[in-house]
Amino acid sequence: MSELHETPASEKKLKQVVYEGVTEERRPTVIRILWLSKAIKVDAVKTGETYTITALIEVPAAE
Amino acid sequence: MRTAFMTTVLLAAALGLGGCASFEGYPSHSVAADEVSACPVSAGTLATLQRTDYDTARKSASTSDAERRRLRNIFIDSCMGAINASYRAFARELTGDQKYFNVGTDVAAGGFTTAATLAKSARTKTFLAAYATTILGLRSSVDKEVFLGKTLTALTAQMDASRKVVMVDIIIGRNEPDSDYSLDTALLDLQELYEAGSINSAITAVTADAGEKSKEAKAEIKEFRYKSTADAQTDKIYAYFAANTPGDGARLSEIVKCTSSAARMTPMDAQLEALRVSEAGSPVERAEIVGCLKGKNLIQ
Repeated sequence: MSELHETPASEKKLKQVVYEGVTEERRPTVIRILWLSKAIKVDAVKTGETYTITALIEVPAAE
Repeated sequence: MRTAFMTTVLLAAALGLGGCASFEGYPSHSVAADEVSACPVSAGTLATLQRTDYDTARKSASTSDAERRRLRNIFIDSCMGAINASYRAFARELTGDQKYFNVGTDVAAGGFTTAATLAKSARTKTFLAAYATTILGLRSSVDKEVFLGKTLTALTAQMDASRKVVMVDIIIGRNEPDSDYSLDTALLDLQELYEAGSINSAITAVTADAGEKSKEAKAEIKEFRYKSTADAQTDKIYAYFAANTPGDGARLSEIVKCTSSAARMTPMDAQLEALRVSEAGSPVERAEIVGCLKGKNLIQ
């Protein structure tokens, strides 16, 4: 008999960090630090001359 | 996603029924009298006779509440027995059909239509085929665990749970005097018990539950939004960090050590705090980092 499992997304605590107005030159650094901070997803969207960078980060269970 | 699914299903149902001339969107204004007072599951003439005994007792001024309660409970017990027997047979059919799902059948390819084709009982076929009309083609929007491979397991579990909830109400009602829990009130609960054992009711309950879980999952995501205030000090910090070159992780650790607001944070939060100060903090906070790095002779 099969069992019904929860989807992993509903079990994890996540936080979303958004930086608006990041310049082209600074964008790689912001993205790199977000990856080093264990982001599970990072998006950069150009808005005019600058970027909006959005990162999804898993919060450790202890928090 | 699930809200979108429900909307699409309802829309599809509305469009599908829109072409039917008899579809008015609300229940009929008249029903047969025997349907109002009958047990939802027929057990021959037995329940009808019990109902007559109860109604006769109720009309008589000399019949005590205890006697009416006794007659009411005889009806309730018979009716519950009939509903339970009917449900058990239905659940057995579903369990039998479940075996067909597990024999390497690509249920996903045909959804409920395939399931309906494979279902060995005519009754299950009818139920599944009816839902296939609205659900077919919408699978990508649906939680596969609920609506595909584990459909019948999930729905049967939901029906069992819903029935238990209603049964508690009926058992409590059985102990009440007839004046507080008449047979007609009991019939509402008995009808609900019957409905709780239907696939229709189970899909509604599972979908509602899934919607709640979706909301809970969304509530777990906290958002931190910052507007860049970066300046020349930021560039000095970033130049030291030199993203994507060997050792940038170690250099980030040095920046973190120079970020006083990150002192008591976990390592990951401390890195995020160092980024916040560097990219969206105040000039004073950034000057502190630059001064610290200079003090360690890490930057000029």
